[in-house]
Amino acid sequence: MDLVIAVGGGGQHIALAVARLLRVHALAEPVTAFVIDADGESRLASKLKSFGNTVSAGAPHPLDGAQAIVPPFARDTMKETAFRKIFIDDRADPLERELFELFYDEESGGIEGAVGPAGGVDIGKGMFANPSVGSAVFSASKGGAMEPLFGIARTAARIFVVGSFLGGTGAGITHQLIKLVREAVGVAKPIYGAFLLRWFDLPPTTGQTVDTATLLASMGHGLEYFFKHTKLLLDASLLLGVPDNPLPQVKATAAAPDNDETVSLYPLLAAYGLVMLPEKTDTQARAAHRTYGLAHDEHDPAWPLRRAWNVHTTSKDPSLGARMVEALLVQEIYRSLREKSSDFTDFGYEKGRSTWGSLLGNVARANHENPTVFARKVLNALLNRGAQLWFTTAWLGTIFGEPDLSMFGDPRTRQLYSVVKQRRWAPPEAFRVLVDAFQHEGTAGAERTRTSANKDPDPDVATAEKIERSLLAALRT
Amino acid sequence: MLQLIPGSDTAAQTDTFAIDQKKGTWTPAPQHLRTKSFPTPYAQAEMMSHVLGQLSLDPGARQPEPESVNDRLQQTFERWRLVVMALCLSEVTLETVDLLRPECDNFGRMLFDLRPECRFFGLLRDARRPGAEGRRLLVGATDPECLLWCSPRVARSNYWAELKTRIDASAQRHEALQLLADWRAVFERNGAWAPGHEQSPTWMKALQVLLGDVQPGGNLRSDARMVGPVRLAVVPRGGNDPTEVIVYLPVREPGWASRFSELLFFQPVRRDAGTVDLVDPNGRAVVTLRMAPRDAAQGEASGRSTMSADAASVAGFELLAGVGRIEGNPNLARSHGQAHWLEDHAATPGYRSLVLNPLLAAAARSHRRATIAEGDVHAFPVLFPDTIRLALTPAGDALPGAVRIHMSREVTARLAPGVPAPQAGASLGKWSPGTALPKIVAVPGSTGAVAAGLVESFGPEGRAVDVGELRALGFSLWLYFLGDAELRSDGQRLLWTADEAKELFGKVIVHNAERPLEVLKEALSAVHGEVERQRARDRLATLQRFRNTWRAVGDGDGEQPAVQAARLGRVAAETFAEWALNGAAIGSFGFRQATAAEHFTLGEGARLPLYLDVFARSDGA
Repeated sequence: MDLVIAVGGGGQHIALAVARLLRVHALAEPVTAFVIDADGESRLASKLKSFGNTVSAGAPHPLDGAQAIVPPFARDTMKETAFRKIFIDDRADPLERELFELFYDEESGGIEGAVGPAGGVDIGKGMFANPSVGSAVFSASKGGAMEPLFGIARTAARIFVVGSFLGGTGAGITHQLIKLVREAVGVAKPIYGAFLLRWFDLPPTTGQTVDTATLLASMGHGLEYFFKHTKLLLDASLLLGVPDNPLPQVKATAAAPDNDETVSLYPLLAAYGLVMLPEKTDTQARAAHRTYGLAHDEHDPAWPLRRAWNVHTTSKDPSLGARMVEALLVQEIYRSLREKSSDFTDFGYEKGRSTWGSLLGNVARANHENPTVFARKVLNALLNRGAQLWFTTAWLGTIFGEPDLSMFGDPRTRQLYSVVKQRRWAPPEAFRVLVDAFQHEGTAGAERTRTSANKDPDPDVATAEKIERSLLAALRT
Repeated sequence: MLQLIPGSDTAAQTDTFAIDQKKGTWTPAPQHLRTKSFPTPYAQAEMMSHVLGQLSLDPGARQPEPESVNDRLQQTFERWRLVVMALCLSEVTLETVDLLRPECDNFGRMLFDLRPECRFFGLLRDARRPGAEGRRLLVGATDPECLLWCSPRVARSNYWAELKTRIDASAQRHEALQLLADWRAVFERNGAWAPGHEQSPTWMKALQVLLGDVQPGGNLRSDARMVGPVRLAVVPRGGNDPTEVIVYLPVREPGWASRFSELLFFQPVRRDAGTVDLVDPNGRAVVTLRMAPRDAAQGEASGRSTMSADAASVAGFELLAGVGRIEGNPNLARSHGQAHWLEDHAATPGYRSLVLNPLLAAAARSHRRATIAEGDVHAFPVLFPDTIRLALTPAGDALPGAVRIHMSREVTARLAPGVPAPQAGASLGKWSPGTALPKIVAVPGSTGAVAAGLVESFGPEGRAVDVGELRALGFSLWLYFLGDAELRSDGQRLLWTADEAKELFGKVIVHNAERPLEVLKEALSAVHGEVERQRARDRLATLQRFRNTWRAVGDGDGEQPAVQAARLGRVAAETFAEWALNGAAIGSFGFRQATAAEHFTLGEGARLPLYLDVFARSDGA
C-alpha cells in the first residue's frame, strides 16, 4: 500500500488529482490518503471528501482515507486558541515567558495581558500566512491528532507527502511533518515529496493578511528551509510552479473563490510524482537522491497524456491518454445504457438473456430479488460510477483542452473512439461492447479496485464493478 | 521546453530535470523578507542565517543592507556585529539553559522536540539593562549556523542604538577585534576556517566580514575568559558537509589566565558527586568546579519523572550541560595556598585526579572522541572550558619546556595582587650553561610532575616581585665555599656554622610530601640586606674563584640528574655573584676547585655539589 499524506490546500488539490487518476486506473492501487488541514469544511475539502459529490454506496471513493480531513492539531478541544496562551498561561515560569517572547514578536506572539490583535495570532481564526506559528502549534500537539498517521505510515510500502509551500497551514507543518514521519518509519522506507510552489494568483479582494508578496515570501523561505533541512529526509522530491514567463497553457490561474478547487495542470503534474519519483530513485543510493522539476513543451503540451503512468493494467498502452479515452468510452456506454434502460433491465438486447441476463438473474435470485429490479439497481450503480468518470475526464478536459485521443488506447478503444469522434455512436454500439465484455466476466478484475478491496460490497455494487471491469477488458482488446 | 518552476530562466532539455540547489530567484526580494514565513519556530535564527548568507567576502564590496528597505526585519548583520562585540566586551553575557528544565515547560519541550541537538540553548542577556522578573534583558540567542540571532522585541526600547553607542565608543573595541581574530586563528590552524566554502556556515562568513584583516593580538591564552559552550557548524578540513562542534567563545578579560592559574594553588576537595571545591589553607572554598550536569543533578534531587529521565540522558552533551564550569567568586578574599595542586600530593588527590582527568573524559564524550590528550587541548583550546584549557596550555610568556612548580612559603608570602604568581620554572635539563640565567627554576630530583621551584623574581616588567631564592641558594654555596657552612650530618640541611649554625637550605615536608630543597629564612634574609653583599665584594679574589669554580660545572647531558643538579648550583652561584657585584666587573681568573667536597642529595642521582675553596681548605688545615 502506498500512502499519500496531503497537507493543506495544496495537498488537497493533489489528493483530488490522485483520486481522479486512481478512478481511471492511471495510478496503481492500492493507495491510501491521510489528509491534513485546519479547515475540513471548505468547498475544496468537501469536494475531496465526496469526490465531487459522486460518492455513494454504489460508487465508493476511489482514494481510501480521503473521506476524512484531520486537523493538524486538536483545535476544537483546545482550551485556548490564542497562540500565546497555548504555551504561556498564568502559571508560566518567567523563563518560559522570556523564551516565548524571544522567539515570537508582538504580532505573532502578542503582548502579555493584551486582547484582540495585540494578543497575537488566534489560530482559531486561521494561521494568517504565518508558518512559524503553524509549525510550533503542530509540533506542540503532534502527539494527539497525528498519532494515527504514524501507524499507517509504518505499514505503507512507500510514502508520498504532497502539499504546497504557500499559505500558512501547509507551509507551516509540512517540514515538521516529514521529520516526524521519517522518525516514525526509519531511514529505510522510501518517502517522496511533491510540492507546489506558486501556481495560482490571488484575486485582488483577498483579505488583508495574505497577498502575493506574502505567498512569495512563504515560498522563498519555505524553499530555503526545504533545501537546507527537509530535502535530506526525502528519497526524492518534485517541485512545481508557474515560471516567470509562462505560456498560456501553464500560466497561473486565478484562485477559485470561497476556497473551492482551482483547476490547473499543476496538481496533475504533482500527482505524476507518484509515478516518476520512484522510477527515478535508487533507494539504495541515498547520496544520489535529488529534487526534480517538470517542463512544459509548447510543441507537445499534452505530453503528460503520452507518458506511461500505471503499467500494471491489462492494456498494452499504459499512457494517461489511454486511460482517459477508456473513461470517456465507458461514460458513453453508460449514457447509452441509461438511454435504453429498459433494454438493460429486461435484458432485451441481442444475447442479453444468455449473457448478463443470466448472470444478473442468478445473483438476484440468490439475493431474493426480482432480476429486473436488481438490474435497475446495477444500472444506477453504473451511472454513479459514470459520474465519477465524468468528474475525472471533465477535469482532464479542462486541463488539456479536449485533446484528440485517437492515438491512445488498444485497437478496440481506438475504433470506438473513432466512432464517437465521427458522431456515429448509437446505443446498439454500447450493447455490443457490453455483450463482448461478458466473455471477460470470469477473468477481468486482475486490476484491484477500491470496491473490490472493500469487504462484502452490496451485490448490485459488486456486479456494477464487475461489469465495468469487463467493459474495460473488452476495450483493451 | 519551459521549466515549470518559478524563477526559471533556462529551457529544459527534457520534460523532467533535476534541481540540485535552491534557485537564487526564489529568494524573496529584500523588501519582502519575512521572518514568520520560515516554517519553524526557529524562524529568527533562520532569518539571521539568511541575512548573513547574503554578505559578500569580496574585499571592499558594499554589503547588502536589507533593513534599509524592510523596517520589519529584526535580524541584520549590524545587530549581529554589535552582539558579537558586546559578548566579547562583557556587555552581553551568555547563559546556557536546558530546554527540558521544568521552567521551560511545554514551549521548551516543543523547541527541543524540533531540534533535539539544540537542547542546551544559549541565551544572550545584556549585562546592564534590566529585563523581566529581576533578570537581565534577554537580547538574543545562539544558533549553530549563524552563531547568534537577535530578539525581535528589544528594538522597541531603542536597545540597538544604545548598544551601538556602547560598543563603538568602547576603548577596548580594537582589543576585542584582535581577540576575535585570535579565536579565528585557532580555527585556521585546525583547518576549520573556510568562510568561502559553499557549505560554510553563515557565522563564519559574517565573522570574516567583521574581522577582515584584523591581526590576532596573541592574547587568547592570557586575557580571555571562555564562555559557553555553544554548538557551531564548521566545515572540517577536507570535508564537504558541515559538521557541528562544541566551542567556547572568548570574552576579553585581561589577566584572566593568571588569576585562573592561581587557583591551582588551592587544594581541590570533592564536596559531592557533582562538584569539586578549591579551598584555601583555611579551608574556605574559593571556587566550585562543576563536574556533573547541573540539571541532571537537579532532576534527581527533585524526583521528576519524565523530565529527570531526559535530564539524566546528557551523555555526549556534558560540556553543554555545564560540566567544567567555574562557579563561585574567584575574587573572594582568601589565604593563598603554597602548594601547587595540579598533581596529587602523596595520598591526597590533586587537580589532575579530581578535576582534569574527569573533565577530559567528559570532554571526550562531548566531542565524540575516544580520548582527549593534552596535545588535543593545545591544538584546539577553544573546544575546552577554561578549567581544562588554562590548566593545560602554557602561558604565552612561559619558557619552552618549562616545568610546573610548587611555590615556596617565601614566594607565597610575597604574592601581590595583580601580579601573576609564578607557575613554571626553567627545566635545568634544557637550560644551556652560558646562556641567560633563568629567574625561576624547577629543582631537579622532585618526584611527581610538579617540581619544587626556586624563584629569584617574578611578575611583569615594572611590577617584578623580588624573592631572591636563587641568590640565597648561591649565598649558601658561597658560605660553604668559604668554609663558613657545612652539611649537617644527616645530609638534610646546610648549616651556617660561622653564625650559630643557622639553617640555610635543606629538605622540607609540605602537606606530608617532601620537597628536595627549600631555601630557608636565614639565607633569604641575608641576601635581602647589604652586609653579606658587601662582605662578598670585599673578598673579590675569592669571589673570582667561586665563580670560576661554578662556571666550570653543568656541561654534559642535560638528561642526567647529576648534570641538572650541577646546573642548579651554577645558576644559583652565578645569580649570587651578579647580585654581589651589582654590575661591577670581575676578572675570570683564579683557581678553580674541580672536585666537590661533598654533595647535597636532591633526589635519585641528583646531587648538588658543594665546593670548598682551595684556600679555605688550606686555611682550615
